[in-house]
Amino acid sequence: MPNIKEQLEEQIWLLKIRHGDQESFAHIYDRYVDALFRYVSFRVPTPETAEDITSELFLKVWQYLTGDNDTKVDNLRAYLYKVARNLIADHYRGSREQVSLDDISEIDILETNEVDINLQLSLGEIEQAVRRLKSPWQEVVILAYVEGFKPQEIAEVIGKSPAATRVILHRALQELKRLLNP
Amino acid sequence: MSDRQLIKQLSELRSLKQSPALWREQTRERILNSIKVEPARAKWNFSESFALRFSTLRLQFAPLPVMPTLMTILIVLFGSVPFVQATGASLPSSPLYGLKRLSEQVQLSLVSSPEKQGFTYLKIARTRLGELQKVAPTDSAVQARLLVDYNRSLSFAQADLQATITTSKQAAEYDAISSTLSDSIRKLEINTLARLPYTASLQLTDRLASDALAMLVATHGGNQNGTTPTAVAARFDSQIDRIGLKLDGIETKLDRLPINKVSPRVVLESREAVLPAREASRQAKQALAQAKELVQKKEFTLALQKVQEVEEITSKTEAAVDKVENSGEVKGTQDEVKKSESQEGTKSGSDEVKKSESQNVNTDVTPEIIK
Repeated sequence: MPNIKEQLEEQIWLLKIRHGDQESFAHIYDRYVDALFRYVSFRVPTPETAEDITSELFLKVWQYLTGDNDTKVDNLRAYLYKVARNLIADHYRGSREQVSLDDISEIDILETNEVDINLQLSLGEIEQAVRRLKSPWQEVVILAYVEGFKPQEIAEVIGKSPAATRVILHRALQELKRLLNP
Repeated sequence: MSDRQLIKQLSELRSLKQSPALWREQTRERILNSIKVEPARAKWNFSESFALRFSTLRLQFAPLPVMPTLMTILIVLFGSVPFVQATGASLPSSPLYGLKRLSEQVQLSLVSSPEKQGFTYLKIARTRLGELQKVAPTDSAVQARLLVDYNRSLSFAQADLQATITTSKQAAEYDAISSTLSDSIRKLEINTLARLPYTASLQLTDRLASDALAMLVATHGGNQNGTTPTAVAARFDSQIDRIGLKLDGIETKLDRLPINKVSPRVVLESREAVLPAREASRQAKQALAQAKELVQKKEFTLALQKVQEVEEITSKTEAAVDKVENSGEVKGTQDEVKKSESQEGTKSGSDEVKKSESQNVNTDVTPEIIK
């Protein structure tokens, strides 16, 4: 969760964006684009799709924030991930695209050369296992352990209670362990 | 791979999937160029201006953490020791109770790791249990509220600790607290109107104790600080005794079931079998005896499997008996029928049934205490 200073900054940006302030929107883009791209790319098969969805996401957010609606965004980060989640769902609904294990390429994983090769392979295995998780489990694992969301915030994104979220998270972790140690 | 290692590696996935720098800059430019600004947007109204100024002002003081500062001020104002004592002993009816709950939230916000958070939740659950012991058994509303809070803290603790406990010392602490909770919750006097959350509390506490035992077995020995086999065996013994008592309770309930009720049956998916509740209970007791033998041989892993199997049968049997017990109208128990037959000899059964019916109606109206 953003710290209190970041939360206050975001509230100020949101107020300004309602009056068409592009600079404030640029701040939001700079703060979240990397994390959102990462979240989307874990959930779609190709980086190109992730790029398209992430761009579309920011346009939709701008339209919503400057639109004539009275709904207040309290937690910007949770809101952005919620929009990302919906766009990913729309993408799969539209294309009827199926994620198959054969489609998962390790090339882009192996291309990053800053990390140790042994760790790399092991991370590749973990990423594959995450991708094999069922969609609700996959998203909570990514949000909790990759993006560092707390259960309360995940609950806001996925629209469930914090207690239910903790249960899903626990089960997802057990399932992930099972996939990694068959 | 332990949960902690897995979580650590998952966080390392952040290093993968970086957004391409060129795409990021180009997209930024494209988005900022394409977003349209309405030329005649509404002017800032008073509330918006106020919110903007207020947030800007708060931003200047943002590095100051609000809750700890507030608590420090309160402690300075009221004095630390008497203040903490007074809030610590307060019950839901006390004006200081809100502060007690607030201080719990502060404690939670100050802990950094999920493991510490889990233990803090456990301590909070223990505090709720302490309050429940002091609340009058007639105050069903307060009891129900405290039980719901207890359940919430317990499930949070379980979720946090399951994923983080790795050492024997932590497992022993987890086990000690969960055992105390398990013993204490059974001694509570609960109003029948708070029966539902109480049943959930019992189930949750049992599950917690079972998890803690599994962790104790998984982490015991190994180094100097590891829990000794004797301590693990003693812990097994107490768990086995607890399950035994539960099975005795189930059998008592079965004896008291009304004669017109369908005999409870237990579906055991793991064995692909459906058993009458009494038979399930008998088999559970048999397995419990086997678990005891395994504990004596220090075969803890096998003993744990046995105990977990028995726990599953016990909880399913209890659920099946409760379901039958709570279904439809109550018309007389097997005990009562036997008694009436011996006392009144030729008197027709229907009179007795009517008598029992009226007694049971009264029981439903007057809140009863569950021991």
